Amino acid sequence: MDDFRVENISAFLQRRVSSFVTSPVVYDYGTVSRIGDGVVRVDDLPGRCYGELLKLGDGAFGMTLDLEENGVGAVLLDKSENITAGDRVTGTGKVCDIPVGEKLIGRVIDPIGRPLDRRPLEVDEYYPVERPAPKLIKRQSVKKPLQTGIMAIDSMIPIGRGQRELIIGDRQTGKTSIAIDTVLNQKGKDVICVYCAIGQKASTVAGVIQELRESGAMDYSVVVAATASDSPAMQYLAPYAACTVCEYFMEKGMDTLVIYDDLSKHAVAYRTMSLLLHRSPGREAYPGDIFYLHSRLLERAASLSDSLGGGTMTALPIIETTGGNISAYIPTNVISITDGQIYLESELFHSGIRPAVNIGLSVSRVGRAAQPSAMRKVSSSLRIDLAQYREMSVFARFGSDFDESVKKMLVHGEKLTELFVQPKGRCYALSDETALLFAARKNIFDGEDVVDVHGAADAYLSELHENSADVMEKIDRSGDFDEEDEKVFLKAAEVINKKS
Amino acid sequence: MKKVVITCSESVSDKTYEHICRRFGERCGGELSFEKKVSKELVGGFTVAVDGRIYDMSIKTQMEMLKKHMNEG
Repeated sequence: MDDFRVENISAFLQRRVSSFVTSPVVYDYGTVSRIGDGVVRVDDLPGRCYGELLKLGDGAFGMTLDLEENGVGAVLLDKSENITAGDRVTGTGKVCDIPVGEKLIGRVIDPIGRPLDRRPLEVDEYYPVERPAPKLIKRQSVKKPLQTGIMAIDSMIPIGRGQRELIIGDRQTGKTSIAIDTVLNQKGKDVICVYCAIGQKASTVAGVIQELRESGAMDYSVVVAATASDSPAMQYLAPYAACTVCEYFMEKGMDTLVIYDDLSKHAVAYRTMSLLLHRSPGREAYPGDIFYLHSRLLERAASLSDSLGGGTMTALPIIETTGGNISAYIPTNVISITDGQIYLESELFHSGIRPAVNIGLSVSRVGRAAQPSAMRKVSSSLRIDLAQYREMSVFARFGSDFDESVKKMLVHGEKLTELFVQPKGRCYALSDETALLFAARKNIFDGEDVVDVHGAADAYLSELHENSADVMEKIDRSGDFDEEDEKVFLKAAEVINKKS
Repeated sequence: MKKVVITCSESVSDKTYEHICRRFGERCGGELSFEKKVSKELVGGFTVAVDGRIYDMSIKTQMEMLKKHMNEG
């Protein structure tokens, strides 16, 4: 208590001030020789490093992206109308960094850490935006499941914690909805989520933030936003900044989820910057290192070994295609980097199948290794059943005659397809998904009298939650079910037949 | 001819400015042309920019250095 007396504090401050020695500060400077389109050419600024922050004339910041013999090329991070040729430019000695820590949770920030939600942000730690990916020896294989709450994905395209799963499709096919529903489903599951908006409309980003707030997801989420009106440099930095925010928590042993929405706009922003910096254009005018742009970002998502805390970062990058062409340049690049893709089709979306997942073209390369036992038991034949249904339904349209087994297969496929239709924002727990797929496997929804599949499914789940809540909780907790639980499912399924 | 830009705060007198020019002339050698600028942001003191290098003796920078010194340790 004595240390906090006024005299002691005063003496301490006097000692500290007396020990300060004034001396001139010497640093190099350059001069703006050319400025235009958000790119600045600075002459005579030796000793800069790649990605270093520069301070220009009126306090604006730029990032060094071109190092030449007689100067540097930098992109402006902010719009600045006051910068003119002849202005002085100094180096800061540090690369782009972003604040990290628990205080970021619930906040909306830009890629250089400035708050966008009108509240001050005070943090103690800063990490550089570009960081090396974890080395091979620091990783372990993906083992823990990440439940999206979307039955079609959890059953047939299972995602594990530490995996990179691409969400790819044309515009307005539900890509962001799948990503946001995954975030909503992480409530109470100790997963920190980061949503990164790259080049999106500000109104769209505001809508996403509102949705996250209303559902309570901001209690465990951070939003990093560089909207369409931000400079290409900010849009370029955004996913790396979001990844760094996630890495802080991953290195503390926590599970994290990062969503990059979307990397197509990220590639376009990088192309804009590269062309303005006079770098040689390659295919489709993208620079030669466009693959490296995304590979170094996505490689930072990992499942760390137990000796390093066992933290994970799951990445859900989003790519927008045009005309359903997944063989275009950027989509094929990112498909080859990620551990699988969820392919969304416009045709399916407009025919009412939402989420509009094309199961045939979607894959998870981690697969069943990261799927709970309960789900594994009930989902083993789903892909084959749906594939057979898709093949035979083509003939059904022409009014062909089928034998009984084929008719049954067609009915089963149709009911299964309808069961997988899930409203936006409605997330299923593992126990719900297990119960529904168990019932589907037993052909309980295939009866002629089951006209409304969703009505029947809701009645079935209500019955289970009312009368067997302990069984459902056990499945959610342990991730498995036994023969006794199967009897409970079958008993509850009787309500479907009664109510039909 | 090398260009030397001396940025002073408003509180620096003409006599002090001439003294700075003379001392820098002796130190750098060769032909020099001097340009004076005034910036309130410096609070006090001055900065000298010559040959791609800035020698910062402004009060503003010294206060930032003091702040850093007080926060350390």
